Amino acid sequence: MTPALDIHRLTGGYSRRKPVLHGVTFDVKPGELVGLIGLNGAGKSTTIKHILGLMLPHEGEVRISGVRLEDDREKYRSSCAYVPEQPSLFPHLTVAEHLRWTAMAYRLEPNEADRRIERLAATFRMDKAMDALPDTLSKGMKQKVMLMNALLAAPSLLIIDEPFLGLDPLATRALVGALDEAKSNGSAILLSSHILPALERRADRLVVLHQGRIIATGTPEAVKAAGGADTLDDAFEKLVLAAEEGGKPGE
Amino acid sequence: MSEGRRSRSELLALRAGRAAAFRNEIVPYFRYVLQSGGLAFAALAIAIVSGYVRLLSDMPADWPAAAVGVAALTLAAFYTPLRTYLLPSDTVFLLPLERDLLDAVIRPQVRKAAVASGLRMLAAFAAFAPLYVRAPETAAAADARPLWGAGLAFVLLGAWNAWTAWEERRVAAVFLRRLLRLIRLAANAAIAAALLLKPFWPAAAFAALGAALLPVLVRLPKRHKLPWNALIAEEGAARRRWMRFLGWFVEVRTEASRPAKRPWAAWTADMLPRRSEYAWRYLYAKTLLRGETFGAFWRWNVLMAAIALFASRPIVDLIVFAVGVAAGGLQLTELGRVRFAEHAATVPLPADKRRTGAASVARAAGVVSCVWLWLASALAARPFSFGMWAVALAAGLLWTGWLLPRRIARPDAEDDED
Repeated sequence: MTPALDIHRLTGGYSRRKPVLHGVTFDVKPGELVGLIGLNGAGKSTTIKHILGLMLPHEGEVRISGVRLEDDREKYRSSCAYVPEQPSLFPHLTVAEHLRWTAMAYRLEPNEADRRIERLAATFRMDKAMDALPDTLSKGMKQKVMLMNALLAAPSLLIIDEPFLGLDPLATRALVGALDEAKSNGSAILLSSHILPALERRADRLVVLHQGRIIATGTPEAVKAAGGADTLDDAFEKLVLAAEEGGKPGE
Repeated sequence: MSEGRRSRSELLALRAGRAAAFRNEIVPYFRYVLQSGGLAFAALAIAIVSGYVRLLSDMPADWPAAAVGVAALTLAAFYTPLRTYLLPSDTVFLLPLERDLLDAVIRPQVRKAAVASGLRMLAAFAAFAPLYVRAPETAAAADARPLWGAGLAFVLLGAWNAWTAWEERRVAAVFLRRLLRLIRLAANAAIAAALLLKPFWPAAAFAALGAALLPVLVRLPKRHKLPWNALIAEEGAARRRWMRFLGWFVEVRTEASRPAKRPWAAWTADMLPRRSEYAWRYLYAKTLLRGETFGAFWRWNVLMAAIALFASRPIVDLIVFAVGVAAGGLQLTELGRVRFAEHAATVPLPADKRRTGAASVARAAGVVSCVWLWLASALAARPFSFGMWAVALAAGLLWTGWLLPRRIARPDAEDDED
């Protein structure tokens, strides 16, 4: 099965002389949720920018559904949707217009798009805010709009950066439900977060990044075992400290 | 020096420093404004002065002096800007000094604004008075009152507006603030009409009564001691207006503005087909229609049409048409400088079609503006010369329909980075 996301020996960053990422390799298969974790500055955002094609690799390659950005830009982009940590909405478009624009960009048939929009608005309890401009929305509501946009496109790969920040408990539950549904429909999800207990429960696999290198990968159980700890928080801390000291956890 | 006195002098120095920094920021651009817009300004000034002189020398019997005078003096009195140079971060750092800021900076600025408003009204009345005296519709009313008295009343009306506008800004509820502004506008119109058209002394008494009642009304709702948010928003809008004006002529750093919902115009973008190839156009159309540029653009078109109708002389109308279409088009070039959120770079839309979308929206807006101004100018011009106006229309359409979109569609350095 072709992975939805396939990153192979990715080395990249802003400067060739000081790359942020060093030979990063991992994949995300259809229907799988992979958690990307690491400290601030570990290279998570840089990895995501490379996947989105906002930065180009110095070495290695990124494929989405088997396609590289340089092979078919439009097919590559239409196969993924991204929700950034900071909601970045267009200030002059209402919530409904954002969704309409996303539907146009992803070539959704208007009737089908309207059906999905109605359902998403109900799921995220945004029915009454559809005509609001972003400057009247709270941060959590803006984040909901970003999530609705990504879920509306229903691409083969969803990339979500810190999805739980700013969401109220009902919205968090709605998001978890929507992610489960997207997974069951075959979408692959790459989810970057600092909230490790949430990832421990939800992720099929984890990729632990530190200083631009993968220091552990596998199921949450495997990562905990690699860190020699009972919880993911403890395991993560031990893995990071060990990587900084250049040894194995527990040594 | 006491602590209070020192903080006041520091606040005054802070305001003076910010005002100087703002002047230093914009003054260097004036040279470029004169280079690229001097001709347009000169043409506009000639059109207005020529129309004014022609009216004085050859006043039509049916010229609506009463309506023009009431409208012009009402708007001149209603316009009450207040520059405070406050910044969003001031709510953090200056909040503890609220009382000092109010006493040392804001109140003196309100007094200066009142003086400026009075002088503005004096100038407006001085410009209107000769027309008022000569127009058959108002000649009798002008004769029946001391002009110095009417002038003084309008000066006081200007100063009163500046003070009442300050009290309005202090009202906490946005809805009530807007309602009070509307009431002040209506009061200005009623007072201006009374001072110009009704027997003078009863009119002056009516104006005094209105001027006494409105402040009482303004004091009824809950009010802030210092309306931080309203003043910061007003300051931001003033800065953006300057930058937008300079941006018509030269590349300047643009500042994000609060969008207006503008449903009466925004619906037009929804007419675009819901297909991928129209996505950029849709985004640019909504951005234009809800942005500050469109606010200035439609007001400019209305103003130019009004001047053309007011002048109703072929050569003046032609100049107004040319200036209106040229400057309106320059306003639309702002679309070429719009930068979208990162989100726009991650969707499956061809980046090289982005500028084509902007150009297409500018073309549509420019052509509509051109036809509108042509109708207002050409139909008002007497005698109507078909040849001259056909050439003018063709030139206007060439600018708005071809040259302007080409200019916007041209890729710039930032596009290369995409």
